[in-house]
Amino acid sequence: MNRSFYIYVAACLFSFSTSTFSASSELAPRQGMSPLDKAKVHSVQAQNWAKMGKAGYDAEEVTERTTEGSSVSGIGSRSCTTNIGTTTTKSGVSSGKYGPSKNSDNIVIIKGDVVSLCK
Amino acid sequence: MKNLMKTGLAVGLIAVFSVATANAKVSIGGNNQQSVDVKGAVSNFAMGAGRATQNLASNSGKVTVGGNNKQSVDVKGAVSNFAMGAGKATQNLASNNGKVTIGGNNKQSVDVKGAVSNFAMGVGHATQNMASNNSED
Repeated sequence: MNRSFYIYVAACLFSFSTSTFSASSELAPRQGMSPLDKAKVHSVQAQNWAKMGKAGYDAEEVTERTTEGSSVSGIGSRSCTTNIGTTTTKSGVSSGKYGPSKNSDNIVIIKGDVVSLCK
Repeated sequence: MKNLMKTGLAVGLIAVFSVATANAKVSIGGNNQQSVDVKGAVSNFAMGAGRATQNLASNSGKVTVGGNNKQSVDVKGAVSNFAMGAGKATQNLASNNGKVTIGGNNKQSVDVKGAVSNFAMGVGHATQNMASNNSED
């Protein structure tokens, strides 16, 4: 009786641990957009639809604010920089002088791939 | 004498160019709204030692907007920017580059249905900005 009880408890623990590990197997789970960001995306798309006179759209929306690129400094080198929805302020005397001073909305919707390549 | 004339002409051209660039200033007292709708693709190529700059609904240089600023670009196709050889390709979509001052609210949006690619090959320089703000001294 005791042995079967221990086997039952061990089985329960094993099944619990495997279910926990399988649930957290995704290392970087995709997080959805906040309702505010989603509303902004829909707003931009609605404006474009209104221009096109088109009602339907079925692709999934993706919004990102990223800076992608690679560069090698020096003469005779190549560089490629992709800024998407970013605000870059250079340091110096005029730091903070230029660019948007109040509220700033940067919305980028890209359906296809984003490729940045230095070769 | 011939060389002196050539030198004088070169200096003159440089002077004219620098004066022209120094005076390139845009000042908008009220609101600013820029929108571009492209049905096809958008591409920008710089080859050899060439320089290709493409601005869509963008502010570049010394620009002052007193009121609100709204920039939008809608592209149905793909967007590509290539710099090959020693070329320099710069592509701006709904972006502000340089000494751009905005007094009011700012809204920038880019909607691209296709892919976005940015390539630099050889010793080329490719810069691509979308709904971005880059200030400089």
